[in-house]
Amino acid sequence: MFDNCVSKIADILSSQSASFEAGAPYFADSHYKAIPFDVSNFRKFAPKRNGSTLCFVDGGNLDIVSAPNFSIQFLRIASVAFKGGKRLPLSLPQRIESIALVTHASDLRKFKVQYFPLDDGQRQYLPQDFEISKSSFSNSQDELAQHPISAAGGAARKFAEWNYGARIIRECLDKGDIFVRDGALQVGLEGEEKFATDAYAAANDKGVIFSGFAKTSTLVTTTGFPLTASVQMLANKHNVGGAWYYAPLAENQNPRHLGDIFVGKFFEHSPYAFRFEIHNGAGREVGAIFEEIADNSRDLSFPGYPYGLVVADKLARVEMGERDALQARIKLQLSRVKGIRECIAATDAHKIISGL
Amino acid sequence: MEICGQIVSGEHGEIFIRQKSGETLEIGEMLAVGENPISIMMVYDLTYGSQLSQGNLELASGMHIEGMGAGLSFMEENLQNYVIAKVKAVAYVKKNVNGKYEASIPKSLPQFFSKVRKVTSADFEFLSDGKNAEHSLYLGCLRSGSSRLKDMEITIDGPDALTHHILITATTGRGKSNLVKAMLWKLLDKEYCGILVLDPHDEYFGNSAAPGMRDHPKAKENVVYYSPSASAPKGSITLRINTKSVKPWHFNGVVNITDAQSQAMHLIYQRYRDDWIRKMFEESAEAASLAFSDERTGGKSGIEAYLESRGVMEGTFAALKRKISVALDIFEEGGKIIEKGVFTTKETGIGAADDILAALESGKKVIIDTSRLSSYAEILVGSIIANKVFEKYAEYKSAGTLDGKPVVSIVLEEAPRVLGASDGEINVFGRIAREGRKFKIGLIGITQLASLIPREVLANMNTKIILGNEMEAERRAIIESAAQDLSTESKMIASLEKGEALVSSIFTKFAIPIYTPLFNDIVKETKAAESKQPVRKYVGSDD
Repeated sequence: MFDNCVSKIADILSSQSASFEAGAPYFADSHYKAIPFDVSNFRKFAPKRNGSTLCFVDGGNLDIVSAPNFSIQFLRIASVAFKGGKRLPLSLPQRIESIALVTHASDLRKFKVQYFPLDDGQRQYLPQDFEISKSSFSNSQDELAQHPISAAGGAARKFAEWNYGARIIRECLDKGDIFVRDGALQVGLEGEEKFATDAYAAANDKGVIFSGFAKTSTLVTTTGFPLTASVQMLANKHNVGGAWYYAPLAENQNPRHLGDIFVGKFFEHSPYAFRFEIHNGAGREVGAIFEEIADNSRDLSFPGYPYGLVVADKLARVEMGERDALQARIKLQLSRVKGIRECIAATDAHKIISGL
Repeated sequence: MEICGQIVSGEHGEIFIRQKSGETLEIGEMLAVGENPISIMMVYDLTYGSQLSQGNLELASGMHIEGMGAGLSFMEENLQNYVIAKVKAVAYVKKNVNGKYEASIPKSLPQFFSKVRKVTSADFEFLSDGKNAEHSLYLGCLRSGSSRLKDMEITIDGPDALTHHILITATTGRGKSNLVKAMLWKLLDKEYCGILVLDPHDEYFGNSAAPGMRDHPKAKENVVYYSPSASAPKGSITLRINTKSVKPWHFNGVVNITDAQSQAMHLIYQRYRDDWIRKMFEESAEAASLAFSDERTGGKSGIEAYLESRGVMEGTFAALKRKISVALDIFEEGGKIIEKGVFTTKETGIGAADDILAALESGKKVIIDTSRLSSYAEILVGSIIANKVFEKYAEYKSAGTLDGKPVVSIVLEEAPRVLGASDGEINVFGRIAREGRKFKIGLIGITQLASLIPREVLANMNTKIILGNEMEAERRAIIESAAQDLSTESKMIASLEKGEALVSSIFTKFAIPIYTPLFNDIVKETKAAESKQPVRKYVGSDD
């Protein structure tokens, strides 16, 4: 029975694949004007060190203990820099670790987010505590719609990433250096734009190239195919070998997305092409940026993906194993809070059932 | 402090250390954590570690070997790929209130994430603390992997170790003889022990081509060398043993004798006492009808008639005589007694066994060249002397005078020949292995095949010096009977180079890795030191 189901699914996907046509980039948002594919827009490049410092920033967060009225999250933001193929120590801490407490604000339409850095000295690298509308995490206007409180932990991490990135650019990078954040440059959360603007300003002031590297992309083409896959197939069809990047894909008028979108393949034999964005890309020597990133993407662990982002991800990742230890310590402290057990019990029944 | 790794995980008996890039850890290497207290650990296995999954590594390899990896390499390889050493803590060393280091068996784990360093000689000061140098038994220098800490000489308490027996095991060419030579050399000026060496390869005394004990500055006073060879170096004593010294029980476990033959042998001995062997051959040779040869015996020899009268079958005596003949290399030919070996029925060699006993009792080292003897004769010689020592020392014990006597140890090459499982009675060496320590007598057994030695005997050999051995079954036999838990050291033992060994003893806190220098180098070193003193020469030396 199962095999029959899967066989039918395979047939459907196969028929789609057989009728593959790249189509054109597709953006539902009217701020983007898609530009049809044109094979002449491929640009080839080779990995090269141009003397720039490459700095990568990533962050991780994990819900440790939560209830409908609070969420205690562990945040970790990390950076790593390379120059000439070697790791370059920065004057700022490599990792910022903090607990973020999310509660309901006095205005119940909002969450309140507070940072509690593990090292008080690191408070300066974190944003101010903030409040954020619950609607940021759900499009529903329904009064009874769920606005998971733990989702606000993601906002705490994103804001911290922008904030820390801006500090690094100001204090550690120089003209011509390249800053790479994990993910696209589009901002989606209420209040995020302010942090992005500050980071871009820092980059502009210092002459630093600000970029975003998205390891996954949900963009598609008019034929419903993934955008990155379509660009790759186009390259294959027209025998565009080696490492390349493709642009333009759209005229971007989105005020909350201040970046030029590229699709790049950073290593010839890699099966992966990635969405890559550069803030104010039009004014840059784009080829040199790709060359430098490609040079950092020659590690055998993941050819074609920046090694710096691999390291930043590892440094920032909050492992599930860590959660157990943190959870035990936090619960121990919380045990003196009256009614806490009942609060947690409101959402942890599925965990109990899973353990049965 | 030179860091070579860091503890990253593990449990008691199996600690994982990540090797620092640029450092090379080896199996058998000793590592340390801390300054006081110090946790001393030994590497017993090495594995690769990587931050990458196995699948990723295989893909990376595929890209390289399939020609798609041009320009690819590991960035920060020292962080991504490394070696994990499996170690076990072997000693916990702490300075006591008197400022002396004391070692104990580790009962706790070193601090998690501790940085690990290579050991230095200073970490092992506890090994020499409180030892009586006069009673030391030299084994070599401390070894850490393939590095030698030459200034850290490893000795154990001689009287204890010798009386509790020592087993030296290795496959051919791993340095057994070299080790024994080194031990003997260093014992030559020690009076606490007499050593009897049954030397089937005539390699311990030395000759003009190869140095030996005769080259020791104290050889003249302390080495006695017996050889049956006419071409033996000057100063040697011709080995002749009168059959009067041979008793029926000396054949126990040496020659395969049936119960009936054994009873016949004892009957003959009862009748003729010390002359029992001579009579066996003489009477047959003369076909004489002495004591019991009359008309009732039908013209048989006196012994035959006597045995028959005691119910011993004719064939039994014939078989017994043949076996004794082969063992002693004494034959009857054309009515004459032909003696081809070291045993004689004539009036020579009567006091040889007593002389050897006296030499051992005075702490001398007696080397008997058995290279020209049959295996039977060699063991019989050893059996005669060992019995003599045993009987004498038992007397001393009864008389309460044993304490003043030196320890006697017997070096046995191919030890399973005499210590191996036997269908018959336990021989004197088996007795020594089991109860010799009560009488200050011990064995130094040397073998390639420890598995042939019964477990009970192996367990009684309380110091095992384990040299390289590729044979898993042999390693297992040794490991199972070792004084320390060596269950993780099997690979290490297999990888030991010539001269490298692991000493497992009830007299050491942990199994100590050692290296025994080449004997020739030890001789040179002694001579170099000696050259600063007035020259002495062994009178019997032929060079």
